[in-house]
Amino acid sequence: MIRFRKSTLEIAIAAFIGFFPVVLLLWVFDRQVPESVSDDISARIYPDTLAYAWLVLSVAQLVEAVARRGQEMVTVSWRSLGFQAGLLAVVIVGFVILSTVGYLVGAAFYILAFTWMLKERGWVARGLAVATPVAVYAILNLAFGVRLPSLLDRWWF
Amino acid sequence: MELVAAAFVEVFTPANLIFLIAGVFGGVILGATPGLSATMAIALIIPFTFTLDPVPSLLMMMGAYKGGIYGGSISAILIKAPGTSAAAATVEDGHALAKQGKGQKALKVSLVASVIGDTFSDIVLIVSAAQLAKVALEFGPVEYTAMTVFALTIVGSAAGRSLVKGMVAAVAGLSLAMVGLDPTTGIPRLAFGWIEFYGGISLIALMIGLLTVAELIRQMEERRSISKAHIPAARERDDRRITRADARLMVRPIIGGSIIGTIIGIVPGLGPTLGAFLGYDNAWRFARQPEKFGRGSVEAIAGAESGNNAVSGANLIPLLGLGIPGDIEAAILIGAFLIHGLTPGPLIFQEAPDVVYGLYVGLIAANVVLLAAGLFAIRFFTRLAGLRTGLLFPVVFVLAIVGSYAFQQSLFDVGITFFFGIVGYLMVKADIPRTTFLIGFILGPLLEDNFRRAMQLSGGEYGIFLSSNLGNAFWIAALASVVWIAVQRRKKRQLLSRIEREAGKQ
Repeated sequence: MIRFRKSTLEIAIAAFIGFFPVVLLLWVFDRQVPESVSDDISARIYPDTLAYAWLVLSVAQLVEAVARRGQEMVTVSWRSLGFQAGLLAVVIVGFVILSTVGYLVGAAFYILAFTWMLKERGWVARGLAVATPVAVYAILNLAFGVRLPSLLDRWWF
Repeated sequence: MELVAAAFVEVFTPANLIFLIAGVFGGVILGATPGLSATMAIALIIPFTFTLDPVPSLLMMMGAYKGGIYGGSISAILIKAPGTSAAAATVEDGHALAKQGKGQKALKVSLVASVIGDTFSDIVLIVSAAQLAKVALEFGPVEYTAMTVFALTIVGSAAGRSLVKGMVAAVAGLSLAMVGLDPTTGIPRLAFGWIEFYGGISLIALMIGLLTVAELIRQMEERRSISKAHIPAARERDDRRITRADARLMVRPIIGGSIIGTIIGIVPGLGPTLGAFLGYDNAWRFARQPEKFGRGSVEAIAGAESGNNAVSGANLIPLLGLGIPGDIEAAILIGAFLIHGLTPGPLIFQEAPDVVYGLYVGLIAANVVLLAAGLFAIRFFTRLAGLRTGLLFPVVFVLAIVGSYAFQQSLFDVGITFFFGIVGYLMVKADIPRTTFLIGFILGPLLEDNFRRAMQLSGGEYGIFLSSNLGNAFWIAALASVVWIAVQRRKKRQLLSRIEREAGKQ
């Protein structure tokens, strides 16, 4: 868990969101869009109007955040984010096991993973934690034929 | 009339009733769990409706929405932890009654007030949405552009604490809606070479991330130990039911709350929390027993709950009549419509009248199911407030991931969900309203389509936007709403600082 001034977070976010309108304006149509299309003024005006409005608002947000630099603190819990990332990994690995090795092994994996992650005791708790993902996967698999392995060659896996 | 009869036949088929009941129970369970909400309930139920027809899927979601809002008051009354922010107005009086051994009475008062408020606003919806749609059919691109900007400014300025942040969120949502193929020229925009972005960012994946995953991350920080407050058992039969004296007390606050909630619901962006507090305030002003307020007042619960629930039906008036979601729940419902190839707005009354009438009948049926479920399963519902979130959260998380995957069977969407989960979490930390962002994202295509059509008509002249009287009225309303809300906020800040100064002197 890290603590910092709320205004610091606001300034960081304002600077970050202020970056996007610039990208929007740079991206514009000069780089990607064929000339025949860039003649269509409506195609230019909508993104441009939006980008300028956004830029002005981001600057206003930045000014507001700087002007109100107070002592109010916020905490961002890296533990929570890490926990969610762990859960995501567990869910996906569990899905892969379910669809390649089988339901029993997948269920066993979920029992072990969730029991360890949640530090839960008791078979009702473990059963609950396991029943849902397995049931949902079974429904997806049986009803829609969803199988994950073929999709796992993506670059981000 | 034939359509209404057909809608009755469709809604009351056994399969559709099962979907409705499942939605209501699912909503109550999620709404009653501290940390989870009605919004989450419908966001999580959407994936289960992908393969259903439009009517049963809308029935399930409306059931979940109504169940979720009622569920929020269960945890508010029993453990003083409102499942939804709208239930906060019920906390003091509801929990005070529970501590007197009258927990079941409080839950029943809340249920009856919720159902009456909700039914009233549903009737207003049924009567007025089609009329509004008739007017909207006369709109051209200029009027639509002005109306969309009006809706966004009011949502942006009313939601959250800062006007600028609201506006930033609205424009960010609009800009994100531009990702994908240009609707007019078919040229990829802001896709940065990723073919997955050509179809735009998936609304379902974004919504689940922004609302459900972000909320889970935030809730996990609060290490809530649900210390179940000791609720004494009822001593007499009257402690468990609504007596005649209670019913007489409830009449006035319910009427007031229902009317106030409905008016609040029609205006985009105000939401059920304001409806609940104004309903509570109204009940207090006209109370027969004002001395009981804060100490277990039946009138207070009736006012707050009817005000809170009356917002839900009225919220659908701008959605069906104009295609504008007034609140986050209505925004999620738009997603549900879009999944089934329907676009809410004035044309839906011509394109899919069977779905609209099915929805109307379903709304009323959901209230009946909620009333029956609440009265007969009240003991079961009272146990929900003690559910261990440690167990429930991973289950909800799994459902969220599966839901985002199942829509397009795309792992890329799972990545989008996770990304917007973190974005949503940071937005909560920085007080940037997620509602406005989401509504901006949803209204993006509507605004762009009409803006560009108007620009093409005028050959690039901005003056066209001031050429229509109705359009000008919307521009003035947009400006007036922003100024009015900014002035109100300023007054509130000044009042707070004066109170602080005076408290400091003492």
